[in-house]
Amino acid sequence: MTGEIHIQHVSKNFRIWRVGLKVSVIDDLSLTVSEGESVLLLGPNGSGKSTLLRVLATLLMPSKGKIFVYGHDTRRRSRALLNLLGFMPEECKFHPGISGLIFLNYLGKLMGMREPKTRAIELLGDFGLTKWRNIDTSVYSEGMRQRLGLCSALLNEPKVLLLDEPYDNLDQEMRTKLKIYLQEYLENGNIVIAASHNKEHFTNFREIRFPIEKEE
Amino acid sequence: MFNVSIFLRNFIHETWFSIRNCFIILKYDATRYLLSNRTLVLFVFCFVPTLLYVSFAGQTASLEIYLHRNGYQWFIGYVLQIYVLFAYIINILVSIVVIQELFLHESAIEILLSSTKRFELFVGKTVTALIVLIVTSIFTWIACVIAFIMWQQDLPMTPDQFLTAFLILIAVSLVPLTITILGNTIVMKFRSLSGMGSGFPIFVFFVIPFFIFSSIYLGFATEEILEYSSYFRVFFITNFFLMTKDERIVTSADVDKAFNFFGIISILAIIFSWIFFWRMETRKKE
Repeated sequence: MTGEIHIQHVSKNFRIWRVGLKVSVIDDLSLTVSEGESVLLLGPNGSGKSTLLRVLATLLMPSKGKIFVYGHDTRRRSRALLNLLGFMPEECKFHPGISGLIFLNYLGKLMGMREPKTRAIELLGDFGLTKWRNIDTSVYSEGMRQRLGLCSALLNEPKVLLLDEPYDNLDQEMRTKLKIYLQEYLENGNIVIAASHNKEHFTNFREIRFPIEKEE
Repeated sequence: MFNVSIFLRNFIHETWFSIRNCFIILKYDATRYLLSNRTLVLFVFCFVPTLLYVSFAGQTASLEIYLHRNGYQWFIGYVLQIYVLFAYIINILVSIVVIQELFLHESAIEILLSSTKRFELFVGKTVTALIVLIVTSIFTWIACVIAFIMWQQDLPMTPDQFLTAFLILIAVSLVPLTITILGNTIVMKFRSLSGMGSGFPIFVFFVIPFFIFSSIYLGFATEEILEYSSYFRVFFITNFFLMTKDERIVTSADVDKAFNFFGIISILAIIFSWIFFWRMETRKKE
C-alpha cells in the first residue's frame, strides 16, 4: 500500500458545543491518489474540501475511516508522516514581531533540516519576498502572508503538498509563477492536493467535486 | 523479525530529537516573548508586591512595636511570608497573561501542528511559560531587595532565607501555571467559551477565595472551608518554612498536606491539559 495516498471510508463530523449540534461534513469518502498526481477539491464554501485537507494534514482526526499517506496512518501523526506533508492553510498567520526569515528558520529547525536558512532564503527569493525577509510579518499584506505560507509548506520539500485556496490574494505575476512552480514540483513525482471554489488556475488537476453525492 | 538494536537506535534518536525540538521551541518562544513590549507590562507587575508591601507596612505603625518585641528573625520571616503571598498573586496574573499568549492566541498554530509533534509543542510551550514566570519572579525579588535597601538597610537577611522564599514562590506558582494551561487547552479543544482561558483561573484563584474569605469574615461558614483556598495552603507553607520555630502555627503534617494538595492539582491539571492539547482539532471559525 506504499507510494500513494489512500483515503478509506472517511467521515468527519463536527460537534458545535455552543448550540449542541452535530454536523456531518464528510460522509464515507474513499479516494486514492498516486505519485505525481494533482487533485483539486472543488466546491462551494462549507462543502468540506478544507476539512478534508485538514484531515490529511493531521490537524483533524477522521470520525470514521482511515487515511494512509505513503503507508503512514494519519492518526498516529508520526514524524516520518509529518515530514512528508506540507500544508498551507487558507488564512496564513505568523508571529507578530518576527521576520519571515526567522520564522522559516525556526520551522526548518523543528523539521530537522540541516541548513534551513539557506533553503528559506532560496524560497523567499522564489516567491518575491527577498526585500521583506528581515521585516516583521505583522506588516505583511494578505498576499505576502500567503506567499510566506507557501514557503512554509514547501520548506522541507515535502512529498505531499496540501494547499487551501492557494491562488487567492496573489497578484497575476505570482499566480503564473506558482503555476509553473507546481508543474515542476509535480514532474518530480510529488503529489499536490488543492482546495478551491473555482478551477480557473488548476489545469491538468483531477477534479473532485464537493459536497460528494453518495452513490446508491 | 523484531530487531532490538534498530528499535533502540530509533528510540534514542527519537528521544534526542524530541528534547532538541523542545529546546528549540523554548529558545524561540522565550526570546520572542521576553523581547516583546508585553514583557515591559510584566515587569511593571513585578513592582506591585513591593508597592503593596511598602504601603501596607507604612500603614501599620504597630509593626515597629512588633519588631522591637519579637526581634529581627520574626520580622524577616513575617516580611518574607507576606511578600511570597503578594508575589504569588502576581504570578497568577502573569500566568494568565503569558499562557494565553503562548497557547490560546498562538497565531501560527496550524503551520506548527502540521510540521511538529504535538508533545514537543506542548512541552516546549509549558516550559517557556515556566521560564517566563521564573524570570518575572526574579524581577519581583530584585524589586523587593531594592525596597529593603531603601527602607531597612541593616536588615540582617541571609541569602538562604531569600532563596528559600524564592523556591517556595516558584513551587506554589506551579498551581496557577498548570490550572491556566488547563483552562486554555479546554478552550482549544472544545472551541467554545473562549473567555474560559482567563476565566477559569480567575474563578479558581480569585472568585472562589473571595467567597470563602468573605463567608468566614461574615461569620456564616466554618474554618474548614479555608482548606479549599490555595492562598491558605500557601500561607501554611510559608509559615512553616519562613517563620521561627516559636512563631510557627502549623505542623509539618499540615505542610505535607498542603504540598500534596498542590502536587496532586498540578499533576492532574498538566495530565488533562496534555490530553486536551493532544486531542485538539483546529478548524476554520464557524
